[in-house]
Formats: sequence, C-alpha cells, structure tokens
Amino acid sequence: MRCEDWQILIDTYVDNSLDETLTLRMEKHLLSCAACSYEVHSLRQSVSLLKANVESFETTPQYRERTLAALLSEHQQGVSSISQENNTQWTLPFNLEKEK
Amino acid sequence: MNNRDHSEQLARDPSFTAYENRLIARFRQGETEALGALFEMHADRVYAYSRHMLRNKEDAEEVTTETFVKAFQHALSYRAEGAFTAWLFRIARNLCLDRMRQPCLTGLEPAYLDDLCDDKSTEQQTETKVVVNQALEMLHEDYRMILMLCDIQQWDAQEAALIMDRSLPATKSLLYRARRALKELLKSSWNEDKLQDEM
Repeated sequence: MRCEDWQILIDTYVDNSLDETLTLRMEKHLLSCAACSYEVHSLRQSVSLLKANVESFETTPQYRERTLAALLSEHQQGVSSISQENNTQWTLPFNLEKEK
Repeated sequence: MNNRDHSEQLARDPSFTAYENRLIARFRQGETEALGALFEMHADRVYAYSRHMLRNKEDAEEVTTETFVKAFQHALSYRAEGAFTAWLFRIARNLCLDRMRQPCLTGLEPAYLDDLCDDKSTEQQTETKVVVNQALEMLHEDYRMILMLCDIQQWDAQEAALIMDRSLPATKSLLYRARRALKELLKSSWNEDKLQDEM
C-alpha cells in the first residue's frame, strides 16, 4: 500500500476500529513515515486535550430539587387525568408531534 | 472521579442498563420514586450535553427539564427497544436542534471564562482549557454534537448513530471530520516541539 492509502485509514486507526492485521501493518508504516506518524499523534493529542479540558457542567442542587418537584407534580396530574378519563390524554401531545 | 466520569462509567455497565429498565418498568407501574431515580441518574449528563450545544445556562436547564418531561410522558408507552439513555439523549438532541433554529433569545455565554478559572489551575492549564473550549465552540454544531457524544460522553458510534438519527458509516465519517476540524483549530495552540518529542 502507498502512503496515500494509509492516510485514508488513519482516522479508523486512531478510532481503534481497524482489524488486527491492518493495525499491525499500519504500525509498521508509522515507524517509517514521519508524516503519517505526526498525523496520528496530532489527532490523538486533540482528542486527549478535548477530554481533559472540556468544561464539566453539572446541574445545581436547586435546579434538581425544583425540576424534580415539577416532574413529580406533572406526573401526578397525568396519572389523575388518565384515571379520570383515558390513556390517550397523557400521550396525545406526543402523538400529535409525531404526525407533524 | 467526578460526577461526569461516574455517570458515564455507570451508563456503560450492562447491569446498569438492566437496573435502568427495571426503574422504567416501576415508573410505568406508577412508582414515582423511580422517576426521581432516573432523573438523578441522568440529569447532569443531559444538562452538560445541552449546555455545550446551546452555550447558555438558562436554555440548557430548560432543555434538560423539557427532555425529562417528554421522556416521562413517553415512558408510559415506551417499548424497551434500545437503551433508555440513548433514547433520552435523542430527545435532548432534538430539543437542542429546535432551540438552535430559533432566534437567540437569551444570548450566548462567552466561552465560560469565569467557570474555567479556578485557584488550583496553573496559568498554562487555564489557558489550555480556554483554548480547547473556545475551539469546541467554534466548530459546526454537528461536529460539536458528535464530539460531545463520542469523545466526551463516551458513547460508541452505534449509539451515537441512534441518537443522531444517522447511519453508522455517516456517523463515523462525521466523527472523523469533527476530530480533524478540532485538530486544525488546536494545532496552533499546542506545543509543536512537545508533540514531536512524544512521537
């Protein structure tokens, strides 16, 4: 295979999705090709930087408390309306949405 | 291990999926405690995803709430054909897309700069964080979405394809293009000498 052929497979290799035979052959190629080796390392470094540095957002306790109360209330209302009338009342808005 | 890592690890555990399915079954039988447990299990992941997509705290909170309202309403008719979490994220993704198509009502936050600075980080670490988060923001929304799903929240490509309503090859192709676009944005910021040394 030519270098251009290996370049096409670099993303799959970085993703660990190449089969074993191709992985071994790719690794052999990387030992002798600075350009492909640089490409592999820079892609891996980008993903590592992303994983290590992306902001980790979390909900606040106040939000969780407020939202959970609202969800439980909505659920209770839904259950009441179902028991008073029929099941379609609870799912109707979403059936309509599907039909859009 | 922070909450994000913990919830991501849990979500990949087969026994967790079984536990989740039991909670859904209990919820469908009318046990409201199950609803609370499902919300606590997934709220942070859905919120983090929405916050990165929408770049606004208020919008992300609203979308997170809306996601669970829809999920719990649907859960009464939900058939366990796939992972509940993937289904939940598909709802969140669609709500994010709907909101992103609307005129911006609340405004974008400028790269969360205040959130990124803390006393424990060195100047260099803070700078790297700012660069990475700004690069993520600069990417096209589809790229941001696939990187969030596959590289940050650790969904496999098959699950991401389900969430994004794409074929598996199209999803992988999108992921690879997104990584290359990110690499181009980050290339100027990383230490080229250090990269060469690591090779």
